[in-house]
Amino acid sequence: MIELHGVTKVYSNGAVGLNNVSLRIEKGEFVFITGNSGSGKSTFLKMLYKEVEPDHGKIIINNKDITKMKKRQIPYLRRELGMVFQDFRLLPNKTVYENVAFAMEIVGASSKEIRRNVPVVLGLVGLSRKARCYPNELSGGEQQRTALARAIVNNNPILIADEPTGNLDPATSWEIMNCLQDINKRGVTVIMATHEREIVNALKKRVIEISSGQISKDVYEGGYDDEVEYSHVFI
Amino acid sequence: MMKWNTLMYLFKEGIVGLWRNRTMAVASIGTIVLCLLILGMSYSLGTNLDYLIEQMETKFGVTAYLKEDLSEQEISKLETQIRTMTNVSGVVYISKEEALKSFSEDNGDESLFEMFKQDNPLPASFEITTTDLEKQSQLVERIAALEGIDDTVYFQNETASFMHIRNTVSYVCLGILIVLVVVGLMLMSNTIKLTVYVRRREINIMKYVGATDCFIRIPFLIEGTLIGLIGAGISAVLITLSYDWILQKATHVIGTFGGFTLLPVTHIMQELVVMFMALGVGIGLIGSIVAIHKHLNV
Repeated sequence: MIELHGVTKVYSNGAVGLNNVSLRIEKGEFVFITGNSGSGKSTFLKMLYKEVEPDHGKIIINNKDITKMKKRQIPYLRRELGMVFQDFRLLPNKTVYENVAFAMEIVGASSKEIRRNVPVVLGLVGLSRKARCYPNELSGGEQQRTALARAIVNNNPILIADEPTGNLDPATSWEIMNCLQDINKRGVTVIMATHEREIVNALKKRVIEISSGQISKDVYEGGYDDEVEYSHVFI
Repeated sequence: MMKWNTLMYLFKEGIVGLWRNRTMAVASIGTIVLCLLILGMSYSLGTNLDYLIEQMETKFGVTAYLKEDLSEQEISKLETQIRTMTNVSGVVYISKEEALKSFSEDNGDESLFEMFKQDNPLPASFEITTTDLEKQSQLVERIAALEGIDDTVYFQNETASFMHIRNTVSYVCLGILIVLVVVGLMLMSNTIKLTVYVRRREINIMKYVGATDCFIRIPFLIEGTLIGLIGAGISAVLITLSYDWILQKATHVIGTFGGFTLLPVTHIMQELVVMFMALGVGIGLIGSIVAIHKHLNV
């Protein structure tokens, strides 16, 4: 589903984003990306949705080489990827319902489809009763659940979450993690960057640790502090 | 191609956006109104000045006196000669009798006509009106050179000083217009920069969700167009009202001053409304295009 082949990125100030990284993520996987700030985690995620271009290497998503993609095709790539961020990134002037519906308006869904799908997805993340609220009337957890609903409303096959619990207290973080697990069970590939040991340790999912731009650890059913060396070999 | 209901959604977004950002919208509309009012005033002043000049050009005529004892044939030949000259808009023959009649009427003494009827000292003349005041003196030279013309009289000094005033006013108007338009554009671009700053985050979020540039742009363009249209409408109403008011005051003054008139409101507004709409929509559209352009690169 997602493949990286020898991907390298060096920023213009000399900082190394990624250094010859290859990896493969299968459909339906739940992957944690861990690592210190500046390790290259963000570079990796940003490359997936083409905010950052690699200097060398190939990135393949859904059998498409996105490094060869033209600029005006980027929006169509991003529609395949649901995205959730630490700072939620909801449109402040739209209600919960409108924020989720917006993702459907973009892809040209009919108003009938929108009226049918949005309530279903809001029900899934437990926000049916907040549909008419504006983002600033919601708690952090509710805002993040809105973002989650927006990220999956078009049946996006991949969900990229960049520290989605970074701004939330532990209890709320677990709400979000439960949502993410539910979403993953529906067949969505989830890639989540995080710092939070408790979450990583408790869920026993695949953990990819990046440090200094390279994969330092890649373990299935791993924990944050596993001392397992990176030993996977990929195509 | 975009679907119909997508376009409807974007149109609605434009209107809603206008309302949600109404403080900015009011600032933008204000700026456009300011620019258009300045333009409207300059335009009204300019066209009226030209209109007045047109009226004066016919009033500042040339009088060419004829030599005594010309036959009717010679007179009519002269008349056609003058009529076919360039820069002549009209020729009226005034016979000796007519001249005496109007002289006695002007003096309010009918007996003068009877008195000089037999031995009329007044010469016959042509009253010539010109199309271009600036070339009047050249015309006068050509007329004076004609066989049978005794003397020519025209308001040389009046014409010259009037031309001078007209040119000065035109230059001053142009200068003011340029300065104000530059100021207006600067105000406008500032307002738009502010609007974009406010919306920058919103544009970014839309890009992350996978909106195409076109999808993001259209509501802004609709917003800009509406701002322009509203600005044009307000300016048109303001100019109509104030022009009408000035017209009433001015007719009073100018009317008693030699029978000059100003252009009616409808004449002024006919062209101004089109200009306002084009400029308002143009400024609004270009403003929003420029403003969102650089923020589309995420």
